[in-house]
Amino acid sequence: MKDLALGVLVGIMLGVVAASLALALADLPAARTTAAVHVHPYD
Amino acid sequence: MDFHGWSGGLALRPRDYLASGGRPLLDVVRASGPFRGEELRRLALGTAATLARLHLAGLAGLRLGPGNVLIGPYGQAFFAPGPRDSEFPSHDVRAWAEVMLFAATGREPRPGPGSGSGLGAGSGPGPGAGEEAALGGVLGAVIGECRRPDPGSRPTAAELVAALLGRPAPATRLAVERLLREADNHTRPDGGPHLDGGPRSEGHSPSDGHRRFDGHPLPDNRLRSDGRLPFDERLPFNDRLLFDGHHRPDGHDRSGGLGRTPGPVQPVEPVVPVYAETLMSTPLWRRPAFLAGVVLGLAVVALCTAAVVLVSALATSAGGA
Repeated sequence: MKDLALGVLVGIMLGVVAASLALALADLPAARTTAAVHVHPYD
Repeated sequence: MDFHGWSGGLALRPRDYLASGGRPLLDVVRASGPFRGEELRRLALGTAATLARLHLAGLAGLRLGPGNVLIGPYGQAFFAPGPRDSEFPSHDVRAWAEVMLFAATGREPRPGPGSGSGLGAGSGPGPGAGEEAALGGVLGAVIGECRRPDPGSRPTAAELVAALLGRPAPATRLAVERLLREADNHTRPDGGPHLDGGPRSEGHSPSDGHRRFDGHPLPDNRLRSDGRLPFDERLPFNDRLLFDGHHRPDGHDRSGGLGRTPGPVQPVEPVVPVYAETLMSTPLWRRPAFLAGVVLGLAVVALCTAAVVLVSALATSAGGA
């Protein structure tokens, strides 16, 4: 049972990291566009 | 968490499986002739106990044969490493019987069809059929049981040890551990204490002999009064000890306890069983419970993420509309 609990904990941590990365990468094009509009100094 | 073949995260260290310094049984028999009498019975007990330990650890399909059963410098038996197959423990038991027949007769049986390097995996009787009757005694009867064509009717390795020791068939892991401890006392290299208090047998040094057995004398009265084996009273096949040693649902231990065996009381010494040294802790990341937990945790996070994405998408579309 201790092994199972540790496994669940590690799985949740891994999953959170993976999900964060996935969501961040999925949002990257929109973020670039936003950055280009508001931050680019020569526009 | 208890998984088949695993016990508290412990698995076998390959000491029983990776022999060092041993000679193949094939060479030993060719060089020194067949095993006889007490020597043969100790070989049978040692190999059966090793087989039982491996089966309890979830290792089966060992492809046993005279070439990969190794005899150590003190007469202890090991199993050489080799590719395992996906066969069942009952096939190992059959192969063990063929190996014992070879050790007793010196005649090499033909490999069964599809048996690879192992022996006796074929369905029909091998060339040694009937020879077990010539061996006589408990060992002959045990070998005959192991060579039954129906794998389900063969004894388990733990039952083999019980029969060779003249004990009832074990029904719990505790009973199996007691049996293995007793088998270790009978077969360990230093010979263990003698019941009669007499001197240990001398004469063989580790270097001059590879078939030295000078432990306890094995009991002779192991056949029941009707000539049947103790494990004739064994449990139904699906309730028997193959990989697990779970307690029976009714909690009834059929072993009856070794201490209740009639006859002279055997000295019980607080020794750490030899096979305990073969146990080592399995790394956490390889334990089935841990891996199952990781999968569970990933699934939970995936579900949560999917829910968040779905709600976000619905909110975006509703806001757009």
